[in-house]
Amino acid sequence: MSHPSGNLDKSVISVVNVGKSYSRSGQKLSVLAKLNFEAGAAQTIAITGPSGSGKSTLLGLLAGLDEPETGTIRMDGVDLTNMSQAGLASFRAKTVGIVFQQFHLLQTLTALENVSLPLEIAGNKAAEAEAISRLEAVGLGTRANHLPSQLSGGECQRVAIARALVVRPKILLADEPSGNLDAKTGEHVTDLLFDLVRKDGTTLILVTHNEELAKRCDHRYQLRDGQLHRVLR
Amino acid sequence: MKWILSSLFFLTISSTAFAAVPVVLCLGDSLTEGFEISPDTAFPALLDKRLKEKFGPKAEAINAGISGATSASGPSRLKFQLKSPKQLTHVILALGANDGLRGLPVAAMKKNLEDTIKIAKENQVKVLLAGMKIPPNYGPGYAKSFEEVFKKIGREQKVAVIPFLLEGVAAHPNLTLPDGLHPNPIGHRIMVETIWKNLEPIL
Amino acid sequence: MIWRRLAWREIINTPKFSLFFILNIALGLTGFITVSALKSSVDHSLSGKSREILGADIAVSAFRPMTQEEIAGFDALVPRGTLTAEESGWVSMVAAVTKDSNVPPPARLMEIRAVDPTFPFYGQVAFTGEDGKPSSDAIFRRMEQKSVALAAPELYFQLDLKPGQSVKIGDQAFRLAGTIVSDPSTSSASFSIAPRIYIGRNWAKQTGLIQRGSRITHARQYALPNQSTESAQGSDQRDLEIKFKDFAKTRSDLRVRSHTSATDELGRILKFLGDYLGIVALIAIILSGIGGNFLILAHVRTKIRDLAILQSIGARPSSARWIIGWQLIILGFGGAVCAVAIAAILLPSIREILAPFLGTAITVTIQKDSVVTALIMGTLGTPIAALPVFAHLEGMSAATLFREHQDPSRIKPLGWLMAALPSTAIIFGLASWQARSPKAGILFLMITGIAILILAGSGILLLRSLGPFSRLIKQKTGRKSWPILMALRHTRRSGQTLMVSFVTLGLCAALISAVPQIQAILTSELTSSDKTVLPGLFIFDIQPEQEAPLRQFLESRNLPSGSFSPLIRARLDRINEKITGDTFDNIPGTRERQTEEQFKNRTYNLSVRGRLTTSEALAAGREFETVRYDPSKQDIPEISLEKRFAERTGMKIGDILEFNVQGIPVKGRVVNLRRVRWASFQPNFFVQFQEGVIDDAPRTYLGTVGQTDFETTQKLQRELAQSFSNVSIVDVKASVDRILAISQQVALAITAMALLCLLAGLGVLTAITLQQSRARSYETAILKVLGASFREVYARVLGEAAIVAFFAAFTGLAISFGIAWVLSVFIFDGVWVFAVSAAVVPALLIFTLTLIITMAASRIALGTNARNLLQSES
Repeated sequence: MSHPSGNLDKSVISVVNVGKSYSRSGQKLSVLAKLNFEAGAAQTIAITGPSGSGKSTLLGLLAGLDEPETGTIRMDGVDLTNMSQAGLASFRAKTVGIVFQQFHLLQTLTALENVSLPLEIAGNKAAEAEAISRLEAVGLGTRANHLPSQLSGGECQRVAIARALVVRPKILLADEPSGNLDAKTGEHVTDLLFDLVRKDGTTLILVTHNEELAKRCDHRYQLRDGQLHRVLR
Repeated sequence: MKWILSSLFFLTISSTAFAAVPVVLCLGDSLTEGFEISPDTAFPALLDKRLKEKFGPKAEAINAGISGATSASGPSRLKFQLKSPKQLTHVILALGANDGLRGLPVAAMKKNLEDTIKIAKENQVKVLLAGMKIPPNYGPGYAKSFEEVFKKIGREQKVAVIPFLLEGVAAHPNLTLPDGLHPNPIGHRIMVETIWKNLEPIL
Repeated sequence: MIWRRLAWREIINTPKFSLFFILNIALGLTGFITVSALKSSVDHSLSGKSREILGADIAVSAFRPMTQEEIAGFDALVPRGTLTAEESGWVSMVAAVTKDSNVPPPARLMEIRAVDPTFPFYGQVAFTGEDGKPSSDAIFRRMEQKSVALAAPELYFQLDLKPGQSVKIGDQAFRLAGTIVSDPSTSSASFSIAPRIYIGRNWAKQTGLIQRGSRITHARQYALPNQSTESAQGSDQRDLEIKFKDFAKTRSDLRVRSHTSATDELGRILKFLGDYLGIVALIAIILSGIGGNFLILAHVRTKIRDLAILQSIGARPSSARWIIGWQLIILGFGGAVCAVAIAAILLPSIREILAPFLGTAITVTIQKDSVVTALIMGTLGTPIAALPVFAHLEGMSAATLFREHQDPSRIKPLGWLMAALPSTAIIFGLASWQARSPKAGILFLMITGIAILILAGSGILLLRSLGPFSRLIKQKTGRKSWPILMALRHTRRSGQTLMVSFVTLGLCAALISAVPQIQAILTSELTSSDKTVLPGLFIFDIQPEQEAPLRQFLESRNLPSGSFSPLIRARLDRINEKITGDTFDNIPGTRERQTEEQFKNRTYNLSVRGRLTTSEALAAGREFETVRYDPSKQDIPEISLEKRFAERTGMKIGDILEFNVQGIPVKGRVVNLRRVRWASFQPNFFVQFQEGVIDDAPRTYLGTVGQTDFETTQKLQRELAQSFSNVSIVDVKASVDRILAISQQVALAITAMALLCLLAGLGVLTAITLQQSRARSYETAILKVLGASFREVYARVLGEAAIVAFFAAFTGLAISFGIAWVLSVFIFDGVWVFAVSAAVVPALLIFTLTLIITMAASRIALGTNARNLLQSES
């Protein structure tokens, strides 16, 4: 058991004693147990671990898409565990960006529409202009009006990154961002991701199998037996 | 011998008693049947009650009214009733109203009623013919010849005639059903008085 | 705003789904609008006819003049602008005016109608003038000025008169100014033995016939001012009728008649048509609701990930509902607009088809309120009907996005049921409204509910039995039959999805096949009478001794043969040894005073009939054991009762009834209940005995003669008057023809509606099947990738579709018999026949159509590159 160091007040993410289990065919399966974890502003943190160790569950909790059974999760000073669905939604809209392994773009919307969507949801009037500048930032300014099906995998993921960062979130959750891409494209996309995160001072939680990728982060943790174990360099 | 005599005596007594008790057949149409009213309130039932009061429980009035019947049905229906084990003494012949309402020829009605009376006479059944009138809207000629037929038959056949069965009832809204034609139970009570007035003398 | 925009983008970007959905909604609502239009036009045409029969909207009559106070009372109830007229009617002997006053002139009983110059408010009395040519003379106005009369042709024939000559009614002579050709007010309800003659009302007094003791009908008629819409007029009319009857309540000798009540026998047929059309409209809507739900569900399943993504980027969970809600509202509105357009295009051709039957004057126009209803139902009803899908969304979790395999959300039965409540309520409301009774609503819900339960049950059974079945195939055929095996396996394992499509298909099949069944039942009922045996004349008051001679007489004149039914007057004394007096005094549920009185009197016209005629059908029990009662074999004679009579009196099969037939007690046991066909014009009786029971009893006969022409009828009448003076003839040809024409018109409307509903149903089915094929295409692509040949994949897809379609279609078919039976028994007066072909054809059609669509859709899907498919589905 290890505690990440750092000031509680300064930490952007603070996870205390979080537990989560699933029941499958009558049996209770504990995934996370008394998990503690903290991350400060502008830190990049990698979480590795074997399949089924609970990485997805942890991400779901951090994104406010799922609720822990025990413990508290504070993100940017807000306690997620006591929040209403509406509160969680507006928290996601303003504070968290998410990049998925499978991109998860809306197939029926163009790249630009996908990127401007979070701004529209947040009620930003200048959504389109902002979205265009973000698309340009990921190098896709010329493909703004393409549908996801007309884009390559790497391009899709770049759109997804633009979408995740368009609201300038304090926290970015990335789930195997290069998992579905070939090595070269993957590298290109992760470079972009780290660039943008550093530029904006975003706290990045990166879940990956890729040790090389993990090494690029400030801190590394391994998820084992429902808890995070710090990996020293 | 004594036994035979007494039995003979008994027979005579009983047969005279039989003859003395009136059994009245009311052979008619809807006016007799008690159209749209309970049969207990129609005049044959009222007459039955009165006969029983005066002549004892063996006296009887039989309701042989058939709605819609015309005089043409008289002979066969009387024949049918004569087959009954009941010893009929009188028949109130109250047919003809439907002949009138349907505008059938008066001569044919006259013949039908006469045929019926003949059968009654042949069977020693006394006849009381109920006279009918037809509403004036049928036209003066027809209405007149219609109502005169009954008197004429009475004279020719020497049978008792009620001048008008619905005397004091017809055209009285309080005594008739909404159809303005058939008497209601109160109307039937008046009818039985009219009948009684004419029936009593021949009982 | 953003959700509406997103919904809009969604619609634009998924054109296939949007198109199907709009088509589905449009089909259902087109059915609704067309049915409404047709219903209202048939209503209009027939209410016009019934108005013509009464000659007014509402009338009050009595066998006495109404008092000033009564007139004022009624007049106060009608709206401003109502026209009033008065009329007196009576029967009287009418004699020809002859020069020779010594010979009494021939006379004939006529029905005199003394009318106002405004007569008639509705319809037209067609007549020929003195020159024998059709006349458009304002004859009723002329009657006010002059002593002229318009008479039925019978008068001329019987009294040997010609137009222009005169007749005497009472003391007044009238010049015969014309001959009636057709008179809509000759109601079929009142078979009159006296032909009609019209005179001016102001001349009635001059006849001298209106005096104390005269039996005169005095009527006051009202024609309401025109209303903007037919339905508003209908409801006003009903309100007014209630008010009138209320006012007349304390005056039992006043009779209120509205045009709706003027035509009882037509009313009965009309009510059935209305009910049928209501059911069809409802089925169309339910089908489109089912189809819509299925499409939405399938759509949402593919969109569930998108909705999760939206949540992950900060949208509230409710936003998913908003997007789908808006999408449905927009599509529903589009569907409704399409429906209105399609209906507008279809209706002229429907009118074309119906024109020969409904008459050229009829307009089949789209009803404003049905358009409004359709738009409301399309726009708001669609999202409400889709509430179960929203319930489905509740089970969705955006956290699944982090998992490689997404577990599609599962249906929570309770939530689903709760969400289905509003649409259930809508269907209940619509059903109750259409049939104007909550009974129909409950009935419809129960039918649908039970059908779903049966389908779900048989679906589970099917799933269970597929395992052993596939093992059997495997044993018999070995590996070669893998496509079929795979189809079986997939069918068996896709559980919930399969159940949904099975139940949907099955319910569609059940509803679709029920419609033509009911149609077949109703049409056979409406058109059952064989034209050759239709009566033209009723002959009544035939005495027993006249029966044989009269039969001979009719035969010798080569008249179309008819029937002779004995009529025996009898009083019911005992039911099962119990005296009837008390039990019959208060019979519950009898509305008509007349019937109540008749029961009080307990006297009926029995008849004797050894077996059922073609105009009757067995409703319960069995036919008589023998035609003739055989005392050596039977302990007691057998009786057949008319079904509704039995229901009213509470008599049942097995009851022993004791009648008093002119003083003779006659007992019999009820062995069957009989139903009289709607289109029957034969004499029918409440109580019928076996032959040979009351042979001696006084009786008269009611005879019928087939249809003949006017001349023959009149000649017959003359000859009968000579040889059988008491026997009278009623000419029923006109009434029979009219009812028959309307029956046929109704039957046609019913058939047209059945076809329309079948089309709409098949359309919905097409949408569902296409959607299913699309859903299968992903898997198909995988199989192709795995190296399966086109043929094998094709066989597998078809096999699966065939399994589901076959079982769904035929379970649905089985259920449809139940639906047809229930609707027939509870709504259509117990009329039911096993209309096999009517049901099997749609079931086969459903089955083959499903297969054909699947084949076509699969071919298209298989033709496309497997990689594309996989990509677009990933």
